[in-house]
Amino acid sequence: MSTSPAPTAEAVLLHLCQSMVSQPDDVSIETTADGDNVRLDVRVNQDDMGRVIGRRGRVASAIRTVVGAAAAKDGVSTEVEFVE
Amino acid sequence: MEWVSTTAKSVPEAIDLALDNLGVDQAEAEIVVVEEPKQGLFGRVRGSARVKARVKPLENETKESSNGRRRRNDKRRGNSSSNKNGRNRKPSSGRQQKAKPEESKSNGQGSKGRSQRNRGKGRGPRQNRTERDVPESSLEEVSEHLTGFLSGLSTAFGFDGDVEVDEVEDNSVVATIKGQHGLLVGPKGRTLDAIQELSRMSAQRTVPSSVRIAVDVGGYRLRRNEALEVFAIKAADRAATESADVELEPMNSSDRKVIHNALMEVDGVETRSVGDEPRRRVVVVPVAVPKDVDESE
Repeated sequence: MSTSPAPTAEAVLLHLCQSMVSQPDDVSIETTADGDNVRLDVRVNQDDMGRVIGRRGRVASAIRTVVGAAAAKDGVSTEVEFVE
Repeated sequence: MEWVSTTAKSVPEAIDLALDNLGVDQAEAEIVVVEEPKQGLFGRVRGSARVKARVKPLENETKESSNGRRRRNDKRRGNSSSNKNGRNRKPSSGRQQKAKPEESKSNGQGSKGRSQRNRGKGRGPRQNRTERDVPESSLEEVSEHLTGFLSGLSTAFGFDGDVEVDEVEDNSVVATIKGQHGLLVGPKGRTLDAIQELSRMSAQRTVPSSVRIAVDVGGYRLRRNEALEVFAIKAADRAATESADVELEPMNSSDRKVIHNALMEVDGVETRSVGDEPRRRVVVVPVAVPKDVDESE
């Protein structure tokens, strides 16, 4: 993953998502970079979707906040999307 | 028992206090008015309002998202065994495929804390779980989980993963990521708040318990709370000398609680919270020193 445009953000995102879900092995991240904007598409087991989003999106929003901080270390800004 | 009891001049004030103590919205709390203030002579209110409140036992237990401290009212029943079994079920091999290499060497705890994530499998959404179903994990299990979660987070950030968990008071822990990592605190502590929220949620999912969890980074919260206390005392001085209400800026419930607690023992002022979230704020109200009140003693 050393070639990733946002290795820190990715590692943090992976850790957080895996900590929230029941199927950590099903968590995957797809990274697409457009200059300094990095888009991180997270896939989780369908049953775990609610866990990474949370009521009123609270989990998702907390995850985005923390991943955003990690992305600062990578010198990029990130957009995290949870996709089915 | 997870009820908190509060006393104030009026029922709404007592409820406010109780909610601040619980750190939840009114919608999330169960409130019982224990005693209403009685009208005394000359319209003077005598006696005080007493209420007790607790976080509503939920049929859907996703409440961990409330940003305050959660207290669930299930007592420890010593039945954490099912939980323990779950903990060991799945070693966490291969879960960090994409993590940085350092992460694997972080420490054993890094994996332990999350090893139980499969527990909920097949159980359906958490909303279906009633409180009764939730076993109470021990303080030690919660601490271990937090250490694993935060240590893994810290190493994912490229930090050293040094985490300490302290039991601060009964059934309450503070997990501290060591080191002055401003990145983990963020502007106005927003990153830290998010980390705390995620910590609570992952703990609630993995090691359900009524243990209250706070997360700190390098003593930031500690220093901040001390600063808040100083600020509260100043506001109290101002309220007392000017004999006027001092309205503080909007704060979240845990900050309000710090203010309430700091001024609880201060003579000459009372505190209450007004307004609705997220603009709910503490008002410091001067009160007459009970000299001319009545001779009930």
